[in-house]
Amino acid sequence: MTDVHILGVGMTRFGRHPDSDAADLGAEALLEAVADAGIDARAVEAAYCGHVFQGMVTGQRILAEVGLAGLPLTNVENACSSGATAIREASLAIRAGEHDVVAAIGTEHLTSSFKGALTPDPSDPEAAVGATMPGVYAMRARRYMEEFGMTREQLALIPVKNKANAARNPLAHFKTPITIEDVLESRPIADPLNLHDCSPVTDGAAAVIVMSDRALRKYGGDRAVRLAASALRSGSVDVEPVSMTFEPLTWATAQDAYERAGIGPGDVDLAEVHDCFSIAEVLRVEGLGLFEQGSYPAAVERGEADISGRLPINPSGGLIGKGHPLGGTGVAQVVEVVRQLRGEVGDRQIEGARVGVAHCRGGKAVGIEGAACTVQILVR
Amino acid sequence: MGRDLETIRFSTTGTLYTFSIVRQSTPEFEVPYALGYVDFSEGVRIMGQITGCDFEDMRIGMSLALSLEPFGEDDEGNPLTGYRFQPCEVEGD
Repeated sequence: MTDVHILGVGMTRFGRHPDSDAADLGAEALLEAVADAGIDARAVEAAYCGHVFQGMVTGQRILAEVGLAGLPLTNVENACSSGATAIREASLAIRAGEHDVVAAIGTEHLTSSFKGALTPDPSDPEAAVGATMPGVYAMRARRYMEEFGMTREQLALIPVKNKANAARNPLAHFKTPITIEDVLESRPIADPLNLHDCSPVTDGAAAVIVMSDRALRKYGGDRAVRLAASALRSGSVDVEPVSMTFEPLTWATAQDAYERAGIGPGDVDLAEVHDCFSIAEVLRVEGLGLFEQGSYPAAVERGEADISGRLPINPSGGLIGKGHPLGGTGVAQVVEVVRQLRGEVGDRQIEGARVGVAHCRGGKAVGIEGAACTVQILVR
Repeated sequence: MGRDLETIRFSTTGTLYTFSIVRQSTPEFEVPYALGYVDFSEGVRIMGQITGCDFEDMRIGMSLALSLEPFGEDDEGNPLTGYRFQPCEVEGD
């Protein structure tokens, strides 16, 4: 079976795009990814497009906009893991031998789709009693503080770190570093989480070009990064109440990915993880086995997760700093990891990075621990 | 696997696993409100709003009892009844 390689990546500026729609943004990202791969756009054989609130056939609108209409195109919805799932589907098409060059796109024009706190689907029984996504994560944060003694100031260091990283990322939604005081004094959303603990409502898109060994030989590839694993799981039903301070879904998906890649958490040089809220970053990195359960807040305090630290987490700025256009997020994480592994990110470069992980997790359904989770491992 | 379920009756008191004071929500909910997960001895955890308790007095592990209360209206204006949780004295097992 062929390996899967990423040769081209592209992404729009993340932020507010009042004069564009999701298809415009997706088209911009796709064209950049094709140009970055150095291939003729006509070499692309199929495409997958992840988005959540953009309506029917957004992917086809993107292809029409760039002159690629006619390709097999699959729209993918998997909540916040939609874009990452599009990459997985593209990689499966390569591994299956069906195609040699496939595009994966993620896009979202969230500012025209949503205002305020993201909530579960209205049919969800917990939404009916007032569950909001910030509320659910706030409850996890409070429980984590109770169990592991994390302080509010320690938690605030995560947005401080991620917005400092975002300030070094020209494509990030937020460009201004913040302090612990800024986090603590920002508007309360769901105690103990404040506005700076939350990822913003962002427009943006990203795209990657994946290819087979055969295509890589044809197009040449000293800039290629190998997609060593692209794992996907859906959450299992909780028959009995489970801990809300650990993520079996993230853990299980990560185990699938590590096994497939033949790589362990100790080999990882950087990770982009789904920090939709500050507490989420804690739960993700511990679920990925990158830090011991209960240890991450103190590790952040020691600078271990900084770009200059032992294991940088969210060097792009993460969802909190770079922004969170739902469908675009998972693809943008992979774009960041690829650029880091190629040494192309200027003053947020992690020296000598060889192995990177991208983790997404999204959606909520009552009775299950989480809806969709992806873990991708990239190696150069 | 399957969809054959049976209905069981379980206790109406439980303990608070965790909670938040929600200060931003969808338009149908008046903020702020207390939202929590309550564990029941039968091995069930249920999310609901908590009423009858000052926000500052809420603690993980506190005892709560189920209460049925008005819960807004449906699309046709009919009153809805929903469940909430209220602080209670522990009555022992």
